[in-house]
Amino acid sequence: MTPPRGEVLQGTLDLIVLKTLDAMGPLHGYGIAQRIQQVSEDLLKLNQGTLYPALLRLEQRGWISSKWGVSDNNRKAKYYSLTRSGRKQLTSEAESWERMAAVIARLLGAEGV
Amino acid sequence: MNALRVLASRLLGLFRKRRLDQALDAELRAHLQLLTDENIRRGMNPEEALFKARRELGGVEQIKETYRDQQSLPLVESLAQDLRYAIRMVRRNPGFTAVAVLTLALGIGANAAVFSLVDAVLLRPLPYRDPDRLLLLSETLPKQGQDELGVSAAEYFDYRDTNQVFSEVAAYQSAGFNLTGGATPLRVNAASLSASAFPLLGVNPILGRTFSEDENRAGAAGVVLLSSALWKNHYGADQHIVGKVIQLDEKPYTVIGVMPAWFKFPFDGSPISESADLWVPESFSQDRLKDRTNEFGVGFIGRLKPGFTTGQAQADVEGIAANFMRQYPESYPGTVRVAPRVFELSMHSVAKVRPLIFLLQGSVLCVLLIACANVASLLLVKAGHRQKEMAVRSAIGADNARLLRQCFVESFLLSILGGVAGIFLAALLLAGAQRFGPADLPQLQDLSLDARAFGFTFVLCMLTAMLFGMGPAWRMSRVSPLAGMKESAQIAGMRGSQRLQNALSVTEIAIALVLLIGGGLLVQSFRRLLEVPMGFRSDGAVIVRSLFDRVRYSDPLKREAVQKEILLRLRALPGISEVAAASHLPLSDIRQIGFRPEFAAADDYHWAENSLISPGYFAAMGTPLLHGRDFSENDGRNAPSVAIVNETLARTYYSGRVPVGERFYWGDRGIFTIIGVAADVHISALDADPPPMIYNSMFQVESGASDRCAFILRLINSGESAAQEIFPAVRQRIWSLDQDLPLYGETTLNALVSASVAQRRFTMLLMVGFAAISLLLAVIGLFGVVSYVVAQRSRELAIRMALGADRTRVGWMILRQAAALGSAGCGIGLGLFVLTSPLFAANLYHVHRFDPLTMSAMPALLLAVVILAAYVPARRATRVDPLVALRYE
Repeated sequence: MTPPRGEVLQGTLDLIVLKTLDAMGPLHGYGIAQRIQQVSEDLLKLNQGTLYPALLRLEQRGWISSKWGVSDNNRKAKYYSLTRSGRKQLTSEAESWERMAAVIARLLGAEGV
Repeated sequence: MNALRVLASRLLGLFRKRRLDQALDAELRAHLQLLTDENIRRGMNPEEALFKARRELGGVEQIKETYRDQQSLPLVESLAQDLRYAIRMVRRNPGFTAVAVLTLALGIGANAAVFSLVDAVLLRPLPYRDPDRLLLLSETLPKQGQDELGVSAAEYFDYRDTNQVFSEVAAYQSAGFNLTGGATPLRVNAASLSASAFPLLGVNPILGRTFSEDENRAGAAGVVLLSSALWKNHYGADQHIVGKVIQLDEKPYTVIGVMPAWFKFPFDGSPISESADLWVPESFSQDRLKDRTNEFGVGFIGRLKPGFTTGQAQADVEGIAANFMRQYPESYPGTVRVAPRVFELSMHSVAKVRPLIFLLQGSVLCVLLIACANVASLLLVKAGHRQKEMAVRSAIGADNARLLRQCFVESFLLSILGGVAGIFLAALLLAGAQRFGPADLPQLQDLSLDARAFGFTFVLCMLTAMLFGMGPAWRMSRVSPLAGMKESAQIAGMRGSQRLQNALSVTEIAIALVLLIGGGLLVQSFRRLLEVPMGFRSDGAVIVRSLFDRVRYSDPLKREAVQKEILLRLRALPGISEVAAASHLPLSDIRQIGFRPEFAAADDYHWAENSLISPGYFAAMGTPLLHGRDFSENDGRNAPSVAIVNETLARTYYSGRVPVGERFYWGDRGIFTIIGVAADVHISALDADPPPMIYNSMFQVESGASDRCAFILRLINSGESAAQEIFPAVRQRIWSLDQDLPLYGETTLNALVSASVAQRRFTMLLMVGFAAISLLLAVIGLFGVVSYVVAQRSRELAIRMALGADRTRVGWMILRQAAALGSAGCGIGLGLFVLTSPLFAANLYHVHRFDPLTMSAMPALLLAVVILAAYVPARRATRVDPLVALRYE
């Protein structure tokens, strides 16, 4: 069977990006992608390009802001950082995610018994 | 909040597209660079590193595509793109655009103009509280063929006090007064109203108060409410008018208030010139209450109690009428049996113009349909030329929906352009209608193109675009890329479109035929109307009205002396051949009296028109006196009572024999001897048959109408300018005897006649206009179709001719096809007309709606025009040069 190299669930990418920015501080797109792959230990198959529409969406909602800057190796890059409302959103979304996950886990557990 | 923010940034994105695109591009390039750098660091060679990086990043174009969709509003953007494209199409084909827009403007403009009429007359609710609950009650005398008499004063109280269905009721009557005290006496229209009318209608004055119940009693001090128009025009909008006293018929009335400008009750359906200038309290004299059936004419309005229906109200009033007729049998003998009917106020005020308005609206919709068919036909031809373009678009990935949308955006653009042009056309049409339209079409003068008309026009544009865009859009979007790109596939590929065009053409011809027949019938009606013998000579006669009110002329003999003196002085004017006077004139006044032939049963009463006239009236009017003699100086107040009757009365009640010497009773006035028979004269209108009529001498009979007096002067020189020049002299002569006599209604008999046919003339002109437009459009449509066929088939025709086909036969073939389309259209059109003919019937006069002449002449005319239109392209077909046509492709 296919090894569990899962697609990113619809809607979860937002949460992952917000959490990454929360943990790492301002980052450019490439950095976010690297970080996600690193943390997920390549379990998540992320088409790196899909990150950009997601970033735009988050920015339109006012949860992150962007600024052009210079990367470590002296290349021009756009840096994204979490805003105050983004942080609030992260907290509430993380909570609801955990609740959901707990429910699912309990459901699956009950089924297993 | 959040959604708004997203929308805002997306809207912003619409305008910063290029900058955002560049930013994303830079960002992606940076990402790729970083990935490549990383891969190189891991030890790959640069080529491999770039390749791997590209794979990890994913398809750049897809990312950009999603990003763009995210960044702005994709729907708006592609619509804007379609619109830009459509505008380019429209600008690149100015000829096509001009024809399509003009065609649509004709259709939409005519509809917008007629809609504003329909809206004002039929759709807008009356400005009263809950107008749907307001009912009018009126009686008829079925056995005497009398329509809508109103009720009598005594009956009004019966209905008011014993009904179960009305929560509030009020009585009203129309009236007229001389308003004196100003520089010249003024004749004003008025109505008397119960005090209860104002709360019933839910209307408040803009100044002062309305009537109190006390003021409704007979003998109360006179009070009056002014109309806004009279207050502004005659009293300079005096803010302190309330409490002032004005003179009406020489009696003092205290002004207690001013009504708002829109308040017209009870003249809601009447033109402005006939609306009330003032209102006085309704009070019934003891005289009027005494006799239950001597005088009707009281209006009754009631508000339905909650939960009751019009049907229940009808049943209730019928019960009441049955009761009082049983209770007072002596008042309701023989033919005097009343039948009450209730009407909804909103329907009643427009009942007369309703058929006309439906006819107009139906006709302009037909014009619009034809316009749509025409534009659809044009678009189909264009669709043929654009097949390749659509095939290319579809080949590079546009889906069907997108192609459809493109086509519809183009249609909408055309129809919006047509709509804008149409609004201007509508404004022009309205201005024309107000200038030349009939004065008796209610509210015509109040019409304007307002927000509602604009809204209607916009909706019409959308519907129109859907209608004419549908066929062509469907054709174009269904193109297969392969077939479309093959040049020579055109002939076969467009066969379906040809069928569609033929169908459109047949539809146009059919609808045009309906309008042509309708227009033809109205023209026939109008001709018959003008041929009707009027019963008088309208050329060269002028009229001046006056009123000898009873306060100033309480003595009939004094009045008679003054009137006779005036007649003498008028006759002395230069250029005058005859002079007479009458209380009531044809085509403008109505007065009916009850009479009973001497030989008839005591309760066998009948109604006849009546006028009190001076000797010489028939000579002045140019009405032939067929038998017997005119009134003379000898028919005085003490001489035997005499009368002159008209032909219709002689025919109806004396079975056609000359009734000179016969006698009849007129109410309690005793017996009258008939001394003459005059020719029939149309009374209420030229299109109403002359009613039975009785003339009496104004110097013998004293009646309620004796104060009315119109002077008629026949001129030797019958020019219109001579008529206008005579008025100052007439005024001066009359005022030399009594300078307080009100003079009004200065007009000519010709003007009365043309006013009475004005509405018919207006309808006829409009219908003829609509029919002409639709004929023109249908012919243009057919011309287009046939030309297109010839162009499409030029190769086939060339081959035929190359193989030896006769040129004339080719021409005949084309003409035959056009004739086939025309005949099919005429056949369907005749069927359509039969279906819609009831709409016309109500507007016809002495012409059957299936008039054989019109029903055969109009299809013949249409067919002839159709063949004429096909002649030009058919000729072109015979001129096809086989060599040129075959080389073309």
